[in-house]
Amino acid sequence: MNSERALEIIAAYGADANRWPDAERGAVLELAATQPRVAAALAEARRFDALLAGWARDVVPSQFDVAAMAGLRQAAPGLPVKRWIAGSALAAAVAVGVAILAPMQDPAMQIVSTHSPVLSATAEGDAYGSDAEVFAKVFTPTADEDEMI
Amino acid sequence: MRPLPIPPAVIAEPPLALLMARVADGDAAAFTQLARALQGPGLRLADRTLNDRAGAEDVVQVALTRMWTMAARFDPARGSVEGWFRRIVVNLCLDRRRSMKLVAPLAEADDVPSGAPDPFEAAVANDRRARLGAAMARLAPRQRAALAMFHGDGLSMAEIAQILETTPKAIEGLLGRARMELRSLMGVGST
Repeated sequence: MNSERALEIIAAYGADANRWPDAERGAVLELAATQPRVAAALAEARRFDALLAGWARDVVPSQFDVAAMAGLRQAAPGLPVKRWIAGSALAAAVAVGVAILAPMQDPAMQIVSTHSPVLSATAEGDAYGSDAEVFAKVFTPTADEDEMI
Repeated sequence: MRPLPIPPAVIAEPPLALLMARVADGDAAAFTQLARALQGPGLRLADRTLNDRAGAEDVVQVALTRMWTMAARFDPARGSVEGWFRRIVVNLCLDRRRSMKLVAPLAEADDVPSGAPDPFEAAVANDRRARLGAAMARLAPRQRAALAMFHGDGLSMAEIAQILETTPKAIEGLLGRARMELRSLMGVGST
């Protein structure tokens, strides 16, 4: 331990020896007792510590509306509804995708769709072009769905 | 023999970790208790880090709300409730630093009015506080956070290092430089 290190410790930790590193406390105190420069730094640090402690603690308290904050989480029952909507949207998107792609690969599916009660929509497709045809395929119920209806 | 009544001051509050576990289960009453215990220290830390009262109140409001809505993320194995909360507060403060501005330019400290009854003593104290406040405004928020935690909350270098996500040695340097800059800005030893 030299006086430079003692000054570093005082500069960072202040004058309270209890807060200095355990391993260096004794040596710093010894230097403060023998080296005027270290002793002067310690005296100055003591005044500065008091000023800083006042600065750190002298804050006017505030009361926060904790009840309102608590309500934020209690209002969470809205969340499942949002999740339900998002889940439904995802399911609908998947269903649309399957309905579009599946008939292209499975001829049997096309047969079902041509015999479906929504065939008139396909007929409309002649008038409205290929979009109406896709619409008919997408919204044509399968045999199972027909039974449910 | 009739048991002696326990004075209210002796009845211990539940430990914060216990309250936190209840908060994670959605216990609003536990959250209220926890928030009341943490709002004061949180506000001091935020106020001193930001050097801005309104901003500090916003930060504490957000930090308490996060503690409530993200309580399940708290892991007691990684540290105390107070440490977790301080970390949230400091991170929120540092996130705001870009929008910060100096609130008390150093020049203003040269002319400090005093309305206190003892003109000399009060003026000297006011002057010193104003100079310190103005000098603090020149420091980085990270330096102010470290000073507030060390001198206000009595945290160790290791605890501050954990909150600021660095090493105790780096905090030692940070505090040493902060104090040196403050002394220089204030013209200390002339205190």
